[in-house]
Amino acid sequence: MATHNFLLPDVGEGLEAGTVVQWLVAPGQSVTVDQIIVEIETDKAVVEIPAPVTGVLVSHGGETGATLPVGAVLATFETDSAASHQETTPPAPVNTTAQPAPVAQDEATAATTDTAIGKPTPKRALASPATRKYARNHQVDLTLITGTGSRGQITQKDVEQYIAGTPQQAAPVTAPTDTASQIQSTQPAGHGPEQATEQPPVQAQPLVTPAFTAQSHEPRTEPLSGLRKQIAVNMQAAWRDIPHVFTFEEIDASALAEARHELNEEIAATGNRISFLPFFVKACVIALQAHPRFNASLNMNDETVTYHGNCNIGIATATPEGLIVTVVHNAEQKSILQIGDEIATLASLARERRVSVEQIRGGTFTISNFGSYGGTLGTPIIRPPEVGIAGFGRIHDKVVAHDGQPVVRKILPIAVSTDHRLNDGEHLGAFVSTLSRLLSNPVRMLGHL
Amino acid sequence: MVVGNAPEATDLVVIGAGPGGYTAALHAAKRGRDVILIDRSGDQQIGGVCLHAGCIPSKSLIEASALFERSQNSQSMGVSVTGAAFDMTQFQQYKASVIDKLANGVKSKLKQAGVSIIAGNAMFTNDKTVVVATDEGQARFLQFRDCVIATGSRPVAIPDFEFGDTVLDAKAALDLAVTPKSIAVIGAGYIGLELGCAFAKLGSKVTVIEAEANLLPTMPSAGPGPVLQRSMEKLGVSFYTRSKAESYAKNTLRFVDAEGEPRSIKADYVLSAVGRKPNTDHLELDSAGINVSASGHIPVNADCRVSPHIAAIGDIVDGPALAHKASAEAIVAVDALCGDSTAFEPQAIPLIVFTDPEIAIAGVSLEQARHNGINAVAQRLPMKASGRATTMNHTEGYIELISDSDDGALLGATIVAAHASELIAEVCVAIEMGAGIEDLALTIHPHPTLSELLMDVAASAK
Repeated sequence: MATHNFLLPDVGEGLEAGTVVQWLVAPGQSVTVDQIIVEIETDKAVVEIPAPVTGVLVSHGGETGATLPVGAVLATFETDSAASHQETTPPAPVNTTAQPAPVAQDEATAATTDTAIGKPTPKRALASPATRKYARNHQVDLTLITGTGSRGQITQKDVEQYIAGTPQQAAPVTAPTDTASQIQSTQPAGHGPEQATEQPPVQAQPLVTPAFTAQSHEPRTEPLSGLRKQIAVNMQAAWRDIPHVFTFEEIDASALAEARHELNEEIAATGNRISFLPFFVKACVIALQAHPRFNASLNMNDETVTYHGNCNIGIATATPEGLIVTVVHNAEQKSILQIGDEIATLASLARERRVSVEQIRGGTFTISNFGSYGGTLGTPIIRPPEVGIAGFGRIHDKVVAHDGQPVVRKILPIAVSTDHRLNDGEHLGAFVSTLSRLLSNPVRMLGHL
Repeated sequence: MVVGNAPEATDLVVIGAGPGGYTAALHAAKRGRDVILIDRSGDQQIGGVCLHAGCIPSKSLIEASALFERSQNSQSMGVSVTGAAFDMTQFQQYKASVIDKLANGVKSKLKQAGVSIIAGNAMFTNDKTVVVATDEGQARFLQFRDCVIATGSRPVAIPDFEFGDTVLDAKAALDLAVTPKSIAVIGAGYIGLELGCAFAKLGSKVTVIEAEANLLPTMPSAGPGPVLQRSMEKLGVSFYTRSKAESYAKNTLRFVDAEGEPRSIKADYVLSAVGRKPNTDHLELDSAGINVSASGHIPVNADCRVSPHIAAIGDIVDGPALAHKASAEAIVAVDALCGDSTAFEPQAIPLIVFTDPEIAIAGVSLEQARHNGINAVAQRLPMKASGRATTMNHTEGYIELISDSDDGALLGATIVAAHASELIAEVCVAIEMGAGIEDLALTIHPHPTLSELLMDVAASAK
């Protein structure tokens, strides 16, 4: 028997600690390699940690609720293996692409000979032997990469891109059928859904719940933890350090609504529908390219301004635990339909807290779609080191003056804030003006697509 | 341990000079390591069982026996040979020359690479040191930075059939000075069937006794057994499956047949080929902190290491006991010991049986694929559908391809055909590359060849 101390791996982007949410294996129980033993909550996600060895779990490194620093003993195992692996590299957690996975230590090598069929082996990641070797050399788990081959084969270039941290390009659209499959659900359900006239305004929930009783509740205090704590720290820093300057605008979105209607008619056969959000993203991208000082980062320590080459648009996504901002990378290279597809995927991953570090970092500008939960206007807070954020309210019917006559139009309220250290009111006005022109007549966007 | 023995500081030590060991030694030298290769026979047995007692000598016999048999059975093609004869004495000289040529080739490669060879039995004294009991009676203590164990395997003897003058293992059967008039083969695994087939072609009366119901019981595919049995029966081989050998004395082999009836046959020799056993029992592995499994195998990690500085490869670890698997593991093991992140993760280890027809299997079987939750399908065509096979008058067998019906990925193949051993390599490349069955179908294959049928089988997929 050998003792194996399993250390808490770095399950996120340089995170320093994780909190034990739930132990799935009690001391004394046997585990097989890769069996999920514990759920660990970090600031961004709940990750499932697999057993690194086959053996008996002897002890837990911390009880439920305990916070362990990365590198602390998470669990101790007794194994039958002769070799004592005191310092084996912990395997990567499943369900996250946070870290390139270290090589799993105990893979079966003998499947070929056994006549008796052993435990099922998972479907392989299609890659050539040379690519597999390259990935092993760079400690990359191929199962975390989406291959660009016709059947998902992973090339060495795919691995290189994964290592470089650049998002893999979507496969080029080659046929109408492919277009259809790319669209899928363009609605991030629960976030950025149908807006404006297709939804009863404001109230999504009934005001009176049947169980309502006029009882008081006991006061309680609970620790600020996990995602909530991370949000608190970030928002406090943003509000303290950034002198926000806001501007508000009302945009006539009648043409935009018509454009969206047309596009949905166009893709109706696929059974998918597109929300307004991808249009907002595209309009912001075009405006950012016209006004690079909004697609920038400010570093007061170095006293530098960085103007970004790509538009990586953060999409604030509400989850039961709080707000998570997922990022559509290189949005300038993507069509409205592709952006819609990606937002939907990211939103569902965020709600399941399965987003990877890649999917939440690298943002250069953020969109807050508070209209999706009924909000008309807000004052969005900038996410440093970004210098701008755009908030989109609920599109609603409003009586406005048109050629001297009162008419009912669809109005989209927007609120944009920028970091006054870098941008003045004049800059902000110009940016918002571009945004308004694009959204009030989406045909203008065509020139940039 | 001899008190006062100063260990020699060495870099990388390889124990065993078979295909795994010498490949490890060459690869380590190429990577700039100072390599010492220890083998109990020194440079006399470079190449191990494969070169001296297994693959190479048996293929020599199989080739000669095939030539002899065809020369006598090709009248329908217009070929009649009178006075065809097989001279075992001459064959043994030929076989020895083949082995010498190949062994000298490996020896010169090792010499060029600067690998030192020590003759003697190696034992671990701790996890950093081996002691080599040399032929001169010395004990040399080698303190290594890294070590590759590649000591291979040996035939298992079954009770009441101790190896001797008439109860033979494969090596002894290949070293016979005359062609046996009759020989009983215990065990219908690949070794027994290959040699049984060869001796039958040379005119021996061959009887095969197998405890299981099918030929090749440990192979992942049950399909080839019946085809091979029919072909071998045409060569005059008798089969008793679900039968148990009991004893052998005075040229009489007694066994219990499938119905439980005691029977006996006359046989000048018995070839006992019921399996092989890893050579891990004389290495004092305990001293290095290495435990072996009940079967004597060393459990290793995916990168072939059993501890940070010791790797084990070949027949002494799990998986098929095959030279090409050992050589592939050797590369992974040395890379791991040199600090690389790596793993032995083949998708297709080819399994070959050099019978007539030959059998070659790679990848996963239909059953295994479905067990893995894959929506797998099989396509098969008989060799009769091959023009080339017909011209060769060699139409026994079939080609079967297994693929994933969801995405078309090629998963496995079973080939029962003349030259199946050569045909399977293409399939292995395709599987390793993640090719689809359509890729095979759309690749132009030369006409008329046996390989063409692989394309046709692939094209028959929906």
